[in-house]
Amino acid sequence: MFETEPPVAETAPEIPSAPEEPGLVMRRIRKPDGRYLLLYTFLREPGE
Amino acid sequence: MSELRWDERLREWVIVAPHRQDRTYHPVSCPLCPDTEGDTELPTADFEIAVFENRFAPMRTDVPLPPVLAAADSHDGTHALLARAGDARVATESYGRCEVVVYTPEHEGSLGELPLDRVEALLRVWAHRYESLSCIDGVRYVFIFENRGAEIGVTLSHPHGQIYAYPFVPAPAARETAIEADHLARTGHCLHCDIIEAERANASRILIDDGLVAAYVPYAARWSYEVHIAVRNHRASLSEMDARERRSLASALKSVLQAYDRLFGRPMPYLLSVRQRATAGDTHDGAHLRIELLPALRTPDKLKFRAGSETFMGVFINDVQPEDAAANLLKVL
Repeated sequence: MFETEPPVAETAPEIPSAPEEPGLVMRRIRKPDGRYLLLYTFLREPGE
Repeated sequence: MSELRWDERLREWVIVAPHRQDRTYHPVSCPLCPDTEGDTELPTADFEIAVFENRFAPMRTDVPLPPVLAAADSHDGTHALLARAGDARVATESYGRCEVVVYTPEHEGSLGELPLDRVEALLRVWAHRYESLSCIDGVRYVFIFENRGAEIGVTLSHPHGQIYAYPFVPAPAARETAIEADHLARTGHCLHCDIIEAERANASRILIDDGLVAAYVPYAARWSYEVHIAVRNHRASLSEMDARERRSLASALKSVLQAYDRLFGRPMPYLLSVRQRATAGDTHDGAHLRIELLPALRTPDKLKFRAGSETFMGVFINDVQPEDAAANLLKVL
């Protein structure tokens, strides 16, 4: 149902993304219907 | 396909979106739970917070930015433009972007029950989406919100919220912006900074005051247990907070939401709204970051409805004295 390396539909909307701040990791996935999925994880300092 | 229709009586936009009649309604299998197959939105559980485009979006950007919206060059540019058009009926494709924010891979729980680190992370994701959606051509207002509880129409119980990026400033926000600008011009102060300090000085409705963030039942609360949580320093948006303020805001939000659930011994249905500057590129000085919470219960078994006076006239009738509401919430905070 999902692919991480898409064929992106021509009508797929742009994935809007501001610069990522330190410690915030965002992975982009394009769904077959052109919609995007963004997966966020966070790098935390020990004890943070 | 959705349509934006201009209501010439009120000078407000209405979104007409018949395709949403088919949207997911209390499904047997939760589409927000991660799975590798089936009708899920999330093919992996390898995330802390996930964001995706709403499948039943009332607004989309795969249509051209309508000229009538593109022509607006200020907060109320569109409104003024259409007001000058007299009584002409205007409809256009429903341009905009709608995202769903999934707070956790876990199905059970709620925003208030998430660990503090996760609530803090959510504030960072909200800030990132606010900045990102602000970059879309034609977007004039980014609205972050959550609806919680079947009582107010939520059909998916998995902890999640939404973000709408409108191609106009919605009328209530435009009105508030005008009031903020007027207060700033008359006094030289931010309206919300003044409100926060007045609440702190009075203290009868204060729930939390840690020096960085204040949570309070507002003086003219419209809902029985309405609470506003505001950053004390003048911050126009989520992006302007420093790490200490973000931690404090996350802590206050979690505390108030947990108090809601303890208040009547049952999950409190509520509406959550992040109020801030319209977009990251906007320059309005009067905006002030805060989270507004509108809980729907007024007693353990009675809902407050938005009925005739509230809906038609905008005049809310609150059944609970705001000072009593604050006292009741303090007992369970």
